[in-house]
Order: sequence, then structure tokens, then C-alpha cells
Amino acid sequence: MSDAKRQSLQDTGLVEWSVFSELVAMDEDEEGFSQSLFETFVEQVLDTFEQINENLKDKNLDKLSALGHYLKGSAAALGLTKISTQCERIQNYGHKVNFDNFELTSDSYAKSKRESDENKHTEDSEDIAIPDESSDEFWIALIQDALDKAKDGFEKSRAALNEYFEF
Amino acid sequence: MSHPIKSEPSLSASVSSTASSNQSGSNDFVKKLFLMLQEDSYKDVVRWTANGDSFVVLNTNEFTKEILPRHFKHSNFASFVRQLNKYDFHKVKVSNEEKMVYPYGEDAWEFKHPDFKINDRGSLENIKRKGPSSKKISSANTITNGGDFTSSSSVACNHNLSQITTAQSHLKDQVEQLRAENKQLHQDVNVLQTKYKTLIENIVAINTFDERYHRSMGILINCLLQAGIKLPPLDFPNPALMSLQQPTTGLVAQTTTTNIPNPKFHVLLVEDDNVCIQLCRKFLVKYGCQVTVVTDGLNAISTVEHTKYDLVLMDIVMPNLDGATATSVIRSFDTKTPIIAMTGNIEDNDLVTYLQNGMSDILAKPFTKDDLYSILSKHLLTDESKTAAAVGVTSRNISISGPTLPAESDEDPLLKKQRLQ
Repeated sequence: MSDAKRQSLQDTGLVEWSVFSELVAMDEDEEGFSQSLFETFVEQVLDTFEQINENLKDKNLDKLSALGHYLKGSAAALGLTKISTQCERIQNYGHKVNFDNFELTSDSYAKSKRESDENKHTEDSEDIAIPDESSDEFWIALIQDALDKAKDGFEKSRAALNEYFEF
Repeated sequence: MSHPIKSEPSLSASVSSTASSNQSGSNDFVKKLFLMLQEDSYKDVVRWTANGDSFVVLNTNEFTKEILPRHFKHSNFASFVRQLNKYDFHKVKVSNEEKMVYPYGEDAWEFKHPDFKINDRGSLENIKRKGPSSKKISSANTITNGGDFTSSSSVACNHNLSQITTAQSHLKDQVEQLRAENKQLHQDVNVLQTKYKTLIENIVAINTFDERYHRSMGILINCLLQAGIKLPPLDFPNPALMSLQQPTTGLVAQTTTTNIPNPKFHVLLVEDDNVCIQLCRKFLVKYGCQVTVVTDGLNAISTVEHTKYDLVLMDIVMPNLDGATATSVIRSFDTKTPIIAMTGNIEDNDLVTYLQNGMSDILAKPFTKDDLYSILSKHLLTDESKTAAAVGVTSRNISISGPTLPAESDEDPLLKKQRLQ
């Protein structure tokens, strides 16, 4: 693994270097260990995102929280902080805890509505009033926001890692 | 014990000699008796009966006093009667009715043999001494061949005695073994009972909580509906119907063990996340541990029950049974094995809960290799140095090898849980 590649991955800021370098160090014992670990992770992420989407449709907050917690663990273990941060948000929002005092703006709410409109019908008669914390809609919107950011972080990390491992 | 004696060679020889002497000069006793009766000189004491096909002893006292000493070797009447019996003479029985007309008196003894008749000397030859009973022979020969018998039988006795002693000690061993097994089984059953009790208590507590939440939620929903608040569709299962739903991920739980040559420790990793499993296992193997992985709390319990581990790494949030509950169940039968909670929730309340559940320590997620190793050395090296102290060598040379058999997964507690609901 060339130093240049290492440096460029580090420069993306997508990975926690102290954690990541330890994984790579394991390759000394077993060639391709870190790479296979990331392949496992990619499968897991794709599967979990799918499940999160389904549970967003069903507005199953408990399940969403569990899924957030689950993915948070593996992302953090690999040092993929951009992803684990968003997963932690999903976990907390699923429990209706706005731990980071996230403000639901009309923009992000509209965006979240659009996301979910692609998936299912909504009640058209409703105003585009921003729901508050008493409504599940509020938390669903927050989770949708976190999921979008997690997806974004995942795509970027995946690209950077692909380049690093030369998939 | 009488049978082996019969087969002794010396004894059987003596039996045959006795028999032959009886055959030839055999019935001297009967001839003497015949002659005495023919003389008819004691007709008040003993004589032929009227038919002449039997004889009768009219006066046993006189017979014993006068005739026995003179004509026979017998010293008493009973002995004489026994001798008669040996030659197949039988006492003639007289029924009560017959006694009224019996001519020889109440005290008379009448004896009869088909070949013993008045004036019939020829038939006497047919009267033979009966084949002696084995009992008589053995007792007779015990006396006649005393020395021979003692030596050969003592050999036999010693042989038998040693056989019996061996058999007895074998039986004693078996009894001891069974006793130990029984004790072990009792202990196992007790452990199982405690375990199930704890498990059931936990499940019952959880169910109670669920039901209370369910009721509260029901009331809340009704209130909201009555207040005219429109509710979104809710996924609101009744806990009473929970048994109908299968856990989505938990049932395909496996146990996998990564074997390494000469493992220093045997560690159980309880974790449901594949990425964490791979990574953590890698670190552990590098540390010199043989690693067994199970993916939920129920399997963790049954695995720890079957196999002794040097350390257990326990995730908290898992399908089927969470790590905290699994730990409290394990603690009901295993208080020694270090159990380390691996968790992302490191708030004070959570930590206290984990320690109350019997966790030995907490490893915050995500952890680095060094974090893991410092926990390992904290909980494993103490054991290792203890062993080293006991053996008297440096800890580096010691390898604590755990059992190598991976425990089989056991779904019993789950089934029980489902039955309960």
C-alpha cells in the first residue's frame, strides 16, 4: 500500500485514522483482512439502509432506532465516523431523543416529504406545516435527514476506500 | 457350596466304594431282621403280622432295650427306623378308624416292604439300600475323608473368596462412580433450575412491563382519540400475542470457534454484528486466544454452561436476549468467569446497570486494539499469574488452555420462553 494512497485517504477525513490504521495493520497476519472486513461492512450497510427505508414507510421508530444502533457499531469499529455519527442520530431519534437539538427546517422537512412521497402515498390535504416533537412525523423526518446524510457519507467513504483498496 | 464338593475326585471314589459294599454284603441288616423274625422268639416285642407281608414292633421300649443291642448295632429305635427307611421299608400308616380295630395296640410300629415277607428268603435279595441322598453322602464323607476335603475345599474356598472380594471391590467402585455421577447430576440440575428460575423471572418481569406499557398506551390512545386527535397508523402489538411473532434475526444463531495452535486463553465473543465479530476476533486471535462466537444472549448462556471460558466479551444490544440479562442469568451459575460488557452506551446509569447485572468490566465501543488488550491483560493476566505462582514458573511459559470443544447451540431457553407466552 503506497504512502500516497494512504495520505489521500487520510485527507478525505472520512475515516478515523487511528482506528483504520490498526485494521490495516492486521493485514500483516492475514493478507486482505481489512479489505474483506470492508466488503462485509458494505453488504451490511446496503442491507441496513434497505431496512431503514422500509421502517420509515411503516413509521416503526423502535425498529429504526435498533437499526441505527446496529449500523453505528460496525461503522464506528471501522473508524467510519461520518456514517456512525448519522447512525447515532437515527438511534436517538428513534427513541424520540433530540440529543443534538436538530432543528427541522421547512426545507429539510419538504425534502424528507419528497423522499417519502417517492415511496408511498401521503395525505395530500395536509398542509406543509412543520410537525413538532409530539408527532411521529417529526422524528421520521429527522431520521430521514440522518439517513440521507449517512448514505452520502457511505458513498463517499466507499469511493475513497475503493480507491485505496483498488477494488 | 455343597455342589463343588460332589465333584471332588476323592469324594466320588469313596461314594462308589460305599455303594458297592452295600450291593454285595449289602442287606445283612435285612437278613438279620428276617432271621430274627423267623425265629419268632420275641413275639411279644416284635413279630410278623398276621398276613406275613409286614412286621410289627409291639413294644418299642423293650425292643430298644433287649433286641437292638443283641442283634443290631443301633443304640436307639429312631436309628433303627432310619436304617429301615434306607432299605425302603415304610411304616404302615393306621388311620383313626382302623386304630379301633388294630390288633397290635396304639404304640405298635408296623413296617412293610414288598419283598419282605414271612418265609420268603429269596425275595430278600431284591431289597437294596436306597441310593443315598447327596446330603447324607457329603456329611458322611466330610467325616470319613476329613483331611482330603479340608485341603481341597480350602483351596476352592480361597479361590471363591478372592473372586468374591474382587467382585465386591468392583461393585464398590461402581457404586462410588454412580454416587459421584449422581452428585454431579444433582449439581447440574440445581444449576439448571437456578438458571431457568432467573431466566423465567426476567421474562416474567419483562412481560409484566410490556403489559403495563400496553395498557398505558391503550389508555393514552383512547384519550387522544376522544380528544379528537388523529393518530397515524401504529405498530402496536399486544404483548399477549408476542409468541406468534418470530424474532426477525435471532433464530439463525450459530456458534463458530476459531481454533489456533496452543491458545493461551479461550474467549467467548457474544456479538451480533458481523463487522465487529470479524474485527474483534482478529484482535483476540492475535492476542493468543481461541475464540468462540455466538450471536445472541440465549446462546451465550447455553455455551457458557457447556464450556469453561477464560473470559466472555458480551455485547449489550442483541436479538433474543440482551447481554445484560444474559449476564445476570450466567451469574446465577457461574460467578467467576470475567464477563466484559462491550457497549456504545457509556452513560453512568447504564454502567451501573451493567455492573449490577454481574458484568466484571466495561469496554466502551468503539474500541481500539489497545483498549481491548488492556482489558484482556487486566482480567486474564491475574488468572495467569495465579497459575504461575501455583506452578512456580514465570507467567510467560504458562498456557491456560480452555476446553477445546465448542458448545453446541441450545434453543431450550427460547422454546421455554415461547411456551411461557
